[in-house]
Amino acid sequence: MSALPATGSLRSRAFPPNWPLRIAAVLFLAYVAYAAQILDIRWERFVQGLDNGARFLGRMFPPNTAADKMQLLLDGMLESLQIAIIATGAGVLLALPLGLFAARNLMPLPVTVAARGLIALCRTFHPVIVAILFVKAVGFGALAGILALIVATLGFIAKLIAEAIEEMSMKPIEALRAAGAPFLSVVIMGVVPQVLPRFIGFAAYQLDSNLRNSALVGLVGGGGIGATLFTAFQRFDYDFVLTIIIAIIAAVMAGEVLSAFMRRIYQDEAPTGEVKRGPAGPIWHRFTTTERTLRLAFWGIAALALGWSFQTIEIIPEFLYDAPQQTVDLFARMWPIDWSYYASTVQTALVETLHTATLGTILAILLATPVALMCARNVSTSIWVNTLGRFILVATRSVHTLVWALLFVAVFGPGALAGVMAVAVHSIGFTGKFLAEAIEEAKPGPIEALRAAGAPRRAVLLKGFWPQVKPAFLAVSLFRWDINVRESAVLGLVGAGGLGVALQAAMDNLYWDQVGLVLVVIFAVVVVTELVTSVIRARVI
Amino acid sequence: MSALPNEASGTCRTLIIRNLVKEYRAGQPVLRDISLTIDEPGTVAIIGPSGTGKSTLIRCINRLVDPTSGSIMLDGVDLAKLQGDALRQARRRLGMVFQEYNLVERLTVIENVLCGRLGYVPVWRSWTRRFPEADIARAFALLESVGLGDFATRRADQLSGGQRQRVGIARAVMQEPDLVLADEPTSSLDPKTSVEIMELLAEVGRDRGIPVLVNIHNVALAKRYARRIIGMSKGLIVYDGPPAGLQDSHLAEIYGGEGWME
Repeated sequence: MSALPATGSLRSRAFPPNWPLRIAAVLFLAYVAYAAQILDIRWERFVQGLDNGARFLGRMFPPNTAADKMQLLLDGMLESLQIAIIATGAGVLLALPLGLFAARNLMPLPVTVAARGLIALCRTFHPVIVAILFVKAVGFGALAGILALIVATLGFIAKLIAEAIEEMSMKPIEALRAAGAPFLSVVIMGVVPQVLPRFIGFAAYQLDSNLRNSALVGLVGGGGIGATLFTAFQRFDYDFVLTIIIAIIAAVMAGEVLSAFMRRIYQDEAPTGEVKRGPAGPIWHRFTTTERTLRLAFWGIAALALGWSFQTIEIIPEFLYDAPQQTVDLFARMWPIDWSYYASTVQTALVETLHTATLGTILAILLATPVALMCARNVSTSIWVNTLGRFILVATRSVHTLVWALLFVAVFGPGALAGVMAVAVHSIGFTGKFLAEAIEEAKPGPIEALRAAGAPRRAVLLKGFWPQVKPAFLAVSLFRWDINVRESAVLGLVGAGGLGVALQAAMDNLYWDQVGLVLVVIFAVVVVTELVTSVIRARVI
Repeated sequence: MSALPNEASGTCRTLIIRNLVKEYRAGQPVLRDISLTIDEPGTVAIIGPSGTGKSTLIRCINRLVDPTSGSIMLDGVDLAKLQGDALRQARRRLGMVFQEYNLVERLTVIENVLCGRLGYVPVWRSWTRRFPEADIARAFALLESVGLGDFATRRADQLSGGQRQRVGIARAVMQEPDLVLADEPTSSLDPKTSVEIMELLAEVGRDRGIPVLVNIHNVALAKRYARRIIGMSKGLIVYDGPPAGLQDSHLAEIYGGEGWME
């Protein structure tokens, strides 16, 4: 830099002050203080909450294991499992063609535009809002939950499939086309082998995500364990609440083991098949005996699970007959939208939602960073610390934001403070997982050099790891903020502040034109945040 | 290596290219007015500097690239005008060998060879891999003949470059082609393997009695294996004749300059 003052101290020449960064830091702190004040987050409330929390925890322990409660728990969990299985099966099946239609390297432009529009629509609204709409359309119960989760699955999986297809190599595709293969054969022999490993990863992830989400849709009448949980809350059966939460965490962990098994069969190794010598020459088998057995076992289990779920799930057919009519009616009542509701209530709620998402994300990063350090094997060498860190990640992630919000509303009382805490605690799992991975991917060279120079641990973290992890850190924070805006918009359904409160109030009063307005506002916010994050991502990262 | 298990398909087809022009950007032709006739079996080598349109020419023939104007007649059918199913049917008879092999990496060698039959078999057969017995038997025989008899169940991404190219050639022959197009089949290979691959391609042309059209950078290899050499420069054919007739003056015209020849 040529503009250095010739008379400056040596220190300021070696480390010129970064004024933009300093100003940004001051503005950042000012924002946090301002937002906290808007959301009425004060130290006294927090301390008072901790007091409440202690009492609350006291009432949760020991978890309730009475026989009648266990029966309720079992029924709820089984229904949730059925919801998750059916939603994953149907959603993934539908997502396959949709993802293919959305892939720009295989499909004509108009088709991809239409498919992408549908995917974006599926992704815009939080599963809870979709569930609310389906509950109105097909009535209370498991069916509404299934439909809501199918929509969520469709949006997530189809988008990832489209991306995977767009990133694959086009060379084999070109070769198959040159051989005169029809389009579907090109897909089967050229696209599927390239995309399958990633697809299996997504599907496995979606199964445990749906298991978590099925606890969610129950909160708004979509059946499953969520309904049981909500009832327990309303009856102040906090010891039973704890039992349910433990059961959910255990189920999600079991789901992760199952998806690891799925990945082993389908992802790590493509089948090699075998050649046997026959009397008339070599005979080709597509799979070896082991490969075939594992595949048969997998499909057998999947078919049994789906069959069992369809057989036993409770769907009331009478509700289905008038579903189309109910749906039309629902949207008819939303129209014309009551715009006056915006100035009176929705605007304040919107501001609250945005602040909740931002503060929640900031707090989540503060909480997740030490956990990520615990998990990263190149920072913490103790296996016990690693395991504890990983357990915290899974446990916080398994319990959905809305369920955390229920807990924090009980602790801190209704309002945005509970919302911020819920967003922050649930985000630990996601943020911490990605941060830990980024830390583990840091190059060991600079770290060794610092350690060799006798630098203390803090210095190694600050000067060795931080510069390497910074880009991933920013990317993860931004991505999580984007998600948290969507989550914050529904927290009010359980009393944790923001747009959800306005939504709940409008629904309780059956003012559907106001509901329509809130949905439009949420839609707009989601679109704007997505634009903002993509612009920031392109500029900064 | 034994002879390829594919009987000559009788009379050789005739490929007649007339006034072929290709512009990727309007006003900037890559191929300007190419006319040529191929009506005898055997290897035909196309030589010329990079960017002169050799690949484009080959890709126009099987329509991986759509020509801007001109005609490509194969036995009285204009390939340049075909669309949809008719184009697919025509492509089945045009085998193609690629510079980077273009195998489906996660499939096994035998599955890659059977990909050559995709134009012939219905979709359900590729889905369930229930290819006709005769096709599978031929695939094994072809693998044997390219020296990969023991590799049928290897995954394609476990093979060396030379082995992959052999699979690529087997896949092309699997199509029972009337014409093989090879787009710089040796450019990613070491010198020894390059010779083996050219040998194999020449064998395909000889045994099946079909023309093999090869793009190639290596002039020595071209002269050694080709029956006929086509020299291209700046989108035009500047030499068309037997290897013996190819003089240094031609090479200077094709590649420009002379210093590189010493």
